[in-house]
Amino acid sequence: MDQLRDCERRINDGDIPGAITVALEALSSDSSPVTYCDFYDLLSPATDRMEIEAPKRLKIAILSTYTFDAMAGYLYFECVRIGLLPKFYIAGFGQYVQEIIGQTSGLYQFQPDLLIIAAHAEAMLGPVLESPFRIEVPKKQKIVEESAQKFSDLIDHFCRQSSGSALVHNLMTPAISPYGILENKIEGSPGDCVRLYNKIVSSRLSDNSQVHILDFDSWAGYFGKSRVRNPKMWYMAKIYLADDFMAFLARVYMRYIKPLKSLNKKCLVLDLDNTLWGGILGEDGAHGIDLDTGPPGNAYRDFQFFIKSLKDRGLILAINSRNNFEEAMSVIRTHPYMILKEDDFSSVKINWNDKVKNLEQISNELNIGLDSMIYLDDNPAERLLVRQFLPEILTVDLPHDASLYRVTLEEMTDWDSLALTEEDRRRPQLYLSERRRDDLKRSSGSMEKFLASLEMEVEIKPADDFSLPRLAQLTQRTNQFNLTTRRYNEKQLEQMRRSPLYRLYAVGAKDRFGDNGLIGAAIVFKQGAAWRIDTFLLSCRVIGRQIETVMLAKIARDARVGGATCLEGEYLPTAKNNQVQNFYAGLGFKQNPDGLWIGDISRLQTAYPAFIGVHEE
Amino acid sequence: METNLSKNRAMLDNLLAKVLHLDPGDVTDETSMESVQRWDSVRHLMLVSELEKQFKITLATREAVKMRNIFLIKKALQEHGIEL
Repeated sequence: MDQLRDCERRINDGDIPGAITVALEALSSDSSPVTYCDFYDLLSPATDRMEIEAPKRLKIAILSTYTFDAMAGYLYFECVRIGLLPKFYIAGFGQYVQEIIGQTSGLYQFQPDLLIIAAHAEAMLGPVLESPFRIEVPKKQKIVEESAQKFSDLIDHFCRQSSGSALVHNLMTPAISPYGILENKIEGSPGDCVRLYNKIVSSRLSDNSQVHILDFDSWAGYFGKSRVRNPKMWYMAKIYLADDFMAFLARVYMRYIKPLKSLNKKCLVLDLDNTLWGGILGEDGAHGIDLDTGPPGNAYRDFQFFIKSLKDRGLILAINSRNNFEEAMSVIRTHPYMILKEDDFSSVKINWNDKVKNLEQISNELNIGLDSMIYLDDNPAERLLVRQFLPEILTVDLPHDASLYRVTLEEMTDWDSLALTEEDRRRPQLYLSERRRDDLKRSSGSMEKFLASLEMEVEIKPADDFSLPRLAQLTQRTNQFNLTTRRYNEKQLEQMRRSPLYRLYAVGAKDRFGDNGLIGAAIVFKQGAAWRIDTFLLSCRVIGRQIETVMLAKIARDARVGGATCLEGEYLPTAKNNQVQNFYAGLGFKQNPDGLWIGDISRLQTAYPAFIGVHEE
Repeated sequence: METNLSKNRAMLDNLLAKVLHLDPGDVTDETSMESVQRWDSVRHLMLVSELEKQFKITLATREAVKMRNIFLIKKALQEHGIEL
């Protein structure tokens, strides 16, 4: 109560961050629905009124077939915890059809970034689940198919009307069926019907990059279907889900929201002793550490398997350990039960230096922000140190028991991505090639010699179906060499690509060390005599090689051919992109009074640097 | 010395303060869903949950729906063996 009053006072004083801190503290000691409701009722009107900068902004619409209002409270605080300030639009339950079909419905006026659709099985399959024995199987099948197709049509309709992403619950199969143990023996059982529905919806929507199907059935299973529902709340107020499960579900939603707002982590830094293996190498020796197929080493081995799969998904791995370098590397290279190998790590700091300094060096070397890193260490004292000096890094409290290491990581919501591109899978390898380039740079006499010896080839061509997902990802993830930091999803890029007024450039680069893949993007808006550069970005991997010079030269060439007389460029400053504040100035653009950079086409550089081979379309 | 009676009364006071933001001094038997603005259907459900949790009882839906004022809440609790 005092905390509530304190929160209110801070809001009245205009100290929203302070009010949020009080609320989060209150919730960490009392996570009952009442507390969530009280603080949500207090804070959300205040944050709704605020002018919020784009990175923190998130408009979430929730449509459901049951009373789901409480979710706003849980989801609000999950978002606020990671620095977002969400606004919610919740339609009355059962209104989802009208909201999606109506052209000018509240839903479309709200312009959601994310639409969550929570439908329950009984609403979508009605009689098939209510009286499963009383309907003939062929008729049941027809009912299920019609419902699934109709629902999919609705989602397609939403996707045409809005560029927001849709997060759609699938249906939960009953934990205990009216068929009893014959559930999986009799055709057309309730489980069969739900599975058929889910299968149809999935096949209709899985190719749509704007839609993500949340496997509600699977998450309910993980949580425990016996605990998912609260019958009293259902019968009294059509609240389908128990409070505990709603709190859990809000965290599942964060797996989608974090990558949507480019807040997922890119790099996992690992300690070695008692993290990747049991025991302390320096004391127990290579034969004394626990890493085996039997206990206690099997927990560590399993943990390594999971970390390896994270790497395969595109997460960068690094080591930060106090050990003798040769001794530790020997284990990594030769231990028979080591799953993670030398090549899996993009940066290795095995030394007796300060672990905080090591982390800073890893961040610099890999050119990954501290706020994109996660640190794993079994030692609470080390973790405290890192938390104090590098609070931007997410330091994980590994449990005391190594059996729980794997599940601790599995339950984290910080490294999901909305799509798996080829780039993701190759990313760790790309960082490895980068180390080799760094070695070359150090041994070359000069920058010119280095660049020439790289034997670079740049390909710049219009975006196509193949490159579009990667381009979207680039706009979402690139922070440093990004002139305007406009974030786009595939749907939005597709709309631009189809318009004759836009030109989308996809830029790829390779050199003698390997293919970097697609590393640059530009979006140009053709306004007759002036072509406006809406987006111009380069992956931080390839900064400093004048690829940006190639990109701008190409745009200038195309503009000249297209009859334009000038290029317009914008620089929108953020916390991370000040290295490009003079980009346009350096290319001969002049700034006009309202900040826009104007480049006279007749004066701009259209020649490509000699040391880069350019393929253009 | 704290009796069950005073303990239960204190627990109910705290509960009403927490869920409905009601000052114990302002609460009478007549205090109801109609007289308290904050006591809407959402808060009522929370009230039911908290009563069950704190007093370790299970309220039937019929009981829960009927307890629209403090008098009826106390009555229901007493029927469950809670001294008030």
